[in-house]
Amino acid sequence: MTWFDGRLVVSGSVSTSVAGGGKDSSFNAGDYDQDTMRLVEVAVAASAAPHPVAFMVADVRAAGSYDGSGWYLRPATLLVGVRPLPGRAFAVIAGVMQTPFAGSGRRYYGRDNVLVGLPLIYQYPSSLRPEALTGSADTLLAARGTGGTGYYRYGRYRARSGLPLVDARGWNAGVGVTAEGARLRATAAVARGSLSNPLSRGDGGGWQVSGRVEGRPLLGLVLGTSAARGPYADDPSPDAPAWTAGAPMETAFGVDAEYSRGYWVVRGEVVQSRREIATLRGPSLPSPLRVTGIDLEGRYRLAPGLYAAARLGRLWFGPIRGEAVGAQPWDADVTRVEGGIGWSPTRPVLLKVAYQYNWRPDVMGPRSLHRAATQAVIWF
Amino acid sequence: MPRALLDALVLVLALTAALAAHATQGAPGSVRGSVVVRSPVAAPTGDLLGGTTVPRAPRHHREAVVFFETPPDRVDGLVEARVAMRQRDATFLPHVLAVTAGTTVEFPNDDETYHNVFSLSKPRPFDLGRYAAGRSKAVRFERPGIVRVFCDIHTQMNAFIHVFDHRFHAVTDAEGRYEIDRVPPGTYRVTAWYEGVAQETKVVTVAPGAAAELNFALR
Repeated sequence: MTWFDGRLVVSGSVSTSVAGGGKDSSFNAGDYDQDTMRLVEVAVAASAAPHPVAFMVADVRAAGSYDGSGWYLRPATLLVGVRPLPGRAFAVIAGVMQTPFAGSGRRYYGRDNVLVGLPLIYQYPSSLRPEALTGSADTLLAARGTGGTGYYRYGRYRARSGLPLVDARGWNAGVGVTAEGARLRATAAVARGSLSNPLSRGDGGGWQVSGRVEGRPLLGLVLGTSAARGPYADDPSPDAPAWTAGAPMETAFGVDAEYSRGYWVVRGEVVQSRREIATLRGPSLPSPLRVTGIDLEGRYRLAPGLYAAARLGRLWFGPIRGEAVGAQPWDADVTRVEGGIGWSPTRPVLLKVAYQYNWRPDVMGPRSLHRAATQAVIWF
Repeated sequence: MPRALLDALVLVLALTAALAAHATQGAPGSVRGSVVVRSPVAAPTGDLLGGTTVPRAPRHHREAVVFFETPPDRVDGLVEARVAMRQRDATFLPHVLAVTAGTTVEFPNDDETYHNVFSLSKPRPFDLGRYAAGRSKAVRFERPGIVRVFCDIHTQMNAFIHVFDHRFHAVTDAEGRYEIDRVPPGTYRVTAWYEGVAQETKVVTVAPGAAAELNFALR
């Protein structure tokens, strides 16, 4: 929808997901302990260009889950920008923005997600929390597969999940630049918050530097590479025997690719993150903790308005050695496969049906999950 | 002058007059005029900057379709004709087509990027997939109706294809003018349609061999 002679553009969507099965056991847990397969999300975005040089973008999302975990409202984007070079696709932006990192993060829900579940890289909560630590390798290993909901001895203990590899739904406040040419696009930003923990309240003044370069060497082929580094841990409680030096840093690298032709679109990306662990006065955890994620996704259009899609994701967690056990991944490696159908009976409506299977064999708790889900999206 | 010669001359003159009268009575005319759109729809355009779409100077769609609600005759079967709707600068050109059933529409891609032309409209759903610049795919439209055309990649791209089972239709030009020719004399209901948001119907009488002026003001 447009107003003011096309200088204000408003778009949005309403998405409702319904999933079968009982408690998810953290496979699909998201922020605010919500089940991401049972969300209602309302998104509204507006972009305005009141002047040839200046523009503004706002993207606000509200989401709630059926399991009664409440609603949240968050700005995915709230920024102003300037295009100082007339005729050139170059801009300086400031405000709340998504971290320029990797590819699929922008396609995380609603119309832009070919299935119902989210890619593991952008959602699965690990047992590493931003504001608390278990205190030893053995207790961290015992927390594998819990999504960060177990007992953590040190730090402030808030009721939230562990860190995903990349939090695509969070926001960071800072400044950035973006430039685009015929075959290349580059974006860089310096912002508060980190890749996996955008809402790092009181994080000791940390700033994250991130950037992405995307090339389009052939029609239909997109290749991207990304990097980000910044402090991810929240300030500890003054009552806890907490970290003694510096703000633990998170460093992440990613490569992504997309190829499309005819009725096919295939995408893949690999992300690796290394998180330093704060030095404690008591027993220490090994540092850094590594996690590597891969996501492969494909979509084929069967008929006008009808497509089939499939996704494969896996997370590998780096080995640590406890006193009681030998070297093991610090969290349970997890695999997810999902397949489904999407159908648009009319243009602004998208209906999806999907089936998802998750497994993580090396945990004490639930090791697998079968799930069927449907999603309805209305967009404008 | 001998009487026989005089009778022959009168007969020739009478036949000539009768033929002339008949020719004038059936001579087709035309309907022409203008469609003024007071508040044209702004087509959203934007630049993708770092994943954010930023509006830029909008284009305005002014094309209107003028067609006979009560045509003097309808097409017998499907015509064989070809027209083009190009993809250029992330826009469909022209924005509106009016064709007769049986017409094939080519969709050449003039841009350096992919487009994915599709429609979910009942008269003719189709999906052409993604194809490269310089290539073209075609769709034949056989059923009357309005077909909405979109691009699956660039959501701001849209167009209309009106399919008629008769030939009495036209799309206005850049000045908002139109002409429908070879119209048999008679009285007709004519409609001007704009973007699915405005239309107006008027009655026009076409005299033999004459051009009837019919103007519309919409929105």
